[in-house]
Amino acid sequence: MATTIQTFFEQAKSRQFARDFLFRVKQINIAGGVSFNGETDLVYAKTAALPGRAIENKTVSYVGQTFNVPGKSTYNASESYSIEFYHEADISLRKQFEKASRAVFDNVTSTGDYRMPGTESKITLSVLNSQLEEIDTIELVGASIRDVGEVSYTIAEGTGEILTFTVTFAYHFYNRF
Amino acid sequence: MNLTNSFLDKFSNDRNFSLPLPFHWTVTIEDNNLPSAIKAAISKINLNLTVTSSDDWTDKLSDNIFVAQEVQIPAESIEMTSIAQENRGGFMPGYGVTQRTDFLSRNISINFLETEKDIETELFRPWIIALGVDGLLNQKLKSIITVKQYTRDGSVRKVYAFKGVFPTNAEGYTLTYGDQDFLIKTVTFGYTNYTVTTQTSPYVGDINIPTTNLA
Repeated sequence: MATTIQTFFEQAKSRQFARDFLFRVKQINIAGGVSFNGETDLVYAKTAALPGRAIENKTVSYVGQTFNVPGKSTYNASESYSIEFYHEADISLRKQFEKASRAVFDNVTSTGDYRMPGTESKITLSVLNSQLEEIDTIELVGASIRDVGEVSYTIAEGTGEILTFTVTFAYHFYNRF
Repeated sequence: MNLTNSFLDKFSNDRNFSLPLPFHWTVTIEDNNLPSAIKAAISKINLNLTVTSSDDWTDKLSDNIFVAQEVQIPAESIEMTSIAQENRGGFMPGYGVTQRTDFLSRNISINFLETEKDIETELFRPWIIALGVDGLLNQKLKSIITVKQYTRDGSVRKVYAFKGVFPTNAEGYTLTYGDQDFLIKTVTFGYTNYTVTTQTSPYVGDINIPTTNLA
């Protein structure tokens, strides 16, 4: 017998649904010894994504038929993982990210900590249940900062909207615990 | 006969038909005694360069040179000639093999990443200068390069061992103030012979690499 609405209801009652706010950016440690704590700095994280993983597709052809064969793994958009933050009134969070960016490469001295980020550089993400207990932890390994996004002010027509800015990171791969 | 299903069955179930991913390879250069031989040779022209063995760039677990990015395995080929005769009517000319192509013209080349301590500057460049001083008669200036290819579960499936290896060219490079990728330099090697050892089916366990045959 095919699945019925009753089956769906029983399953949904048992398994429930994930909610879009049950997610935290728990810790960011990046090059230059710059750290952001989930309990203080990162409470202003507004949106972030659970990253994806892919297996590349390779093809082999034979007498007119194409066969799809799995290739190596890749981490989707691992060169541009973005987190959006509320912009603090004193701009301190954004200043910290800019400091991290300058630690990677300082255009004044042309020096910086632009080595390959190691396992100590990571972004830790947590998925929570409805009791706010961690049910999944993901570490983005080899994280380093890329873009500290612009902030758009609307001086003449502004309505007092809360401002946000986006910071983009790159990482090598992620581990799940 | 169903050609497609036969193909699918073979490639999905027969281990001999498993498609290896081409990036599963490692390369090793046996050069523990090279630095002293290179230093001795270049001292004859009053050169005092820093010379380091490839150990400084090699992973101790896998014996792989970390900074190697690409290896060009040479072709195997023969050279042929057309043998003609005058007034042969409608007969086509014959042809014959003149020789197996020499190992200098079908060389092995390896691309190396430049790191702050640079393998091209501290090993291959002095090695070429040393060869320019002593020539190929100095057997201590020859080495063995081993290239291994692996199965999908990490066993060695094929080993190329190049004997009597010596670098013939270390590529120059351009420094620019513009945007540029990391520097990768090509080093080309000649050799006196090579062997290929392949794993026998089933593909389990590693090959015993015949280094004793290469001494």
